Amino acid sequence: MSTTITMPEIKNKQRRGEVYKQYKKEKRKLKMEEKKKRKQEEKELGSEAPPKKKPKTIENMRVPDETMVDPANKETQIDLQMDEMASYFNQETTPKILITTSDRPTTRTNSFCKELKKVIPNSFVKYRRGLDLKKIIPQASEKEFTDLIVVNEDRGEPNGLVLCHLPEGPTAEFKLLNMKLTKEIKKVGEMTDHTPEVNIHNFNTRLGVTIGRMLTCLFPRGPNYHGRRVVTFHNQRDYIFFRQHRYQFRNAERVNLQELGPRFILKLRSLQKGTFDSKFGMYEWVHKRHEMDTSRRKFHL
Amino acid sequence: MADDDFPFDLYTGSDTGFLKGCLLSNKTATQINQIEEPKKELGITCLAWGNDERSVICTGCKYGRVYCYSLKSASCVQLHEDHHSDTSQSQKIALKEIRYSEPDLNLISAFSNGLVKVAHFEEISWEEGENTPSRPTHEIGAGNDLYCMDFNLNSRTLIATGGKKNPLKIWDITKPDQPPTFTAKNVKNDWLNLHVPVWETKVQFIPGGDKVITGTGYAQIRMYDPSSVQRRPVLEMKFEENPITALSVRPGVEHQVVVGNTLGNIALLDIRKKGVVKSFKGSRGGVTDIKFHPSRPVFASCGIDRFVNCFDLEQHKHPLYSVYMHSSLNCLLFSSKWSPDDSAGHDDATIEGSDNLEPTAISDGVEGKVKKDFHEDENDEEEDVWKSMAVVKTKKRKQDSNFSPIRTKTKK
Repeated sequence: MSTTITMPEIKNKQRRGEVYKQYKKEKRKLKMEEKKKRKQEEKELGSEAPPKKKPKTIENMRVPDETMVDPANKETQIDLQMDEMASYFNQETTPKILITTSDRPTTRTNSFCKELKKVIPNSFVKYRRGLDLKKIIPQASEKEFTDLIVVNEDRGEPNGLVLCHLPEGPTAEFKLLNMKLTKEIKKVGEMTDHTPEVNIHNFNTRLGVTIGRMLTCLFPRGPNYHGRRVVTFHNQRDYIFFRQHRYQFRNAERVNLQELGPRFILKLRSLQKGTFDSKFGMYEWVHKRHEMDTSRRKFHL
Repeated sequence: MADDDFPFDLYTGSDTGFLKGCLLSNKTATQINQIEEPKKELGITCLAWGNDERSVICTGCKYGRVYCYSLKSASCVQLHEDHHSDTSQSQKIALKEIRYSEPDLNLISAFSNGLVKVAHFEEISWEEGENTPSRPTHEIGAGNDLYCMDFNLNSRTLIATGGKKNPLKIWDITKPDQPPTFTAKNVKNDWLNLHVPVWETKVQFIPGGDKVITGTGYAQIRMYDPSSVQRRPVLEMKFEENPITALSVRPGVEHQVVVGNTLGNIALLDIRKKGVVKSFKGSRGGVTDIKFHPSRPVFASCGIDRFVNCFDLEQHKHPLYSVYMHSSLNCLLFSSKWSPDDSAGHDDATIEGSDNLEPTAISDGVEGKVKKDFHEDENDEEEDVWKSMAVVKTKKRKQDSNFSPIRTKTKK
């Protein structure tokens, strides 16, 4: 009678442990052998070797989104030419940005605003003075500001950012995460006041394109390439990473990067049509957690 | 009705000016008109059927231009010019709503400055590029900041208007010089004795009657009964906090409405019970229009999230069909067709969205049908009982002077 006892059926814990160890050892051995064989094959075949397998990530297994922008689509083109940011892209307006905070900001929020001012050319930091946003907006659009940034904070830590395009909207509300000031980053370089290049990366859906356009709008057109300063908004899994670098080409292939300025992460909460009006405004997109976050592989930007 | 005449289930009008027909069975949208350049004045703000047969669509553009599309001959004519030739003036005045009444051949258009124009077209000639009204147009001044207008398909002479600080008014279009036949009275002051602001955002006549349901910018849904003595709403309820931007009465059940708000929450409400019967998921942004299918318990919603969602009242809360339309949508029309199952004999379905149709008859909701029949029988019996009873009047209790200190103060 030969009944094989499987591993979980062994009652003695020590014995079971030993068997498990043996099992793992064999498994690893097999894996290493396979790897060795593959390496050998690669060496022998050279360029004809079978391509390397790609790891599965939640990004490359993304749920297909039907709002992905097709640049050849006539209707989307017309839609983009008619939106509120079109005047910037038609070279009609130059950006002028007003940065303000919530009431009675703490030092950390204040210094974040000062750094934002350094990052964005032609921007002005103003003290909020307890004013309503709805009163600020008409005054700001009268003074030809094109965008309004409001940094909100909780317990001394900046945690929200409202970006309102003037004079006709739209308004985007972001969650602000993991903000690091310049002095908190190690080996940081010194910022220059050259007009930066703007790098908007991986904003592909219709919503993402609008957000990307709003962020591009903050910086003047025609970067000063002499300064070699790049501002990056990189979207990954709906989190927008902000970084700032100075680059230097070592040779034709390699480039050195020196990080400058603050870092932070933005996550979109809502996009509203028109200027800031959270009560009566029409929302173009609202992040509804229980409805939308059903799949980890579904992204909106 | 040949299939070629009415090829689509749904028609949508968008901000960019595209009029699209949408087939739900294969989730495709087809462009009906041609738009080459981005022009703001071409943006479609409202749609209406041009005849009872549902073969002509009238589209109202942003600044007052009205086009008519014939689905049979695939031709298009212009009915109205822009409101003003001066562009700076006309940009402030937007066309809010149009309606076309078939036997009287009247085109009713309501503008945001309160002007309601009634233009008479003897016959639309599809050869000419532009038609002019055959009689001088009537004009009704319905007050500033108009938001909505609806035409009563039952009487075919009444229209209802409403707006911001502009209460519901019902006008007779045959008598343009006379004051409105009904003006709503604002609700009583609130518990702080403060004036309750008025902002009607949507209005609809209940099919087959002259009761009116309105949705407001302060999230209330109200029912008015012009035939009763009471000018205040007879029924009122609140749905969440955000403005109601779309509203449609459930055909056959006059106290149930489907509403949508600026956040994109859609729900079937019972204003008699003052509660949500069912809420519908799947909308990402503000809803701009909701329309029912004329013969099925199915409705569609469109919004500025660029999606058309089609829901079944009796099935689950997620959309049956969801179609991406590439630009933000302002308005929607449901034809009498239903492509997902063409084989069944729905061609003779009732064309008007009126009371004689049975919302539950066709779909597989057997339970719903039984329930509804039962409900109706009960209603009839109840009504007889109520009619046979004598009216008992109760005396109003005198108010205690200590009870309402605020009111007595203000009266002084």
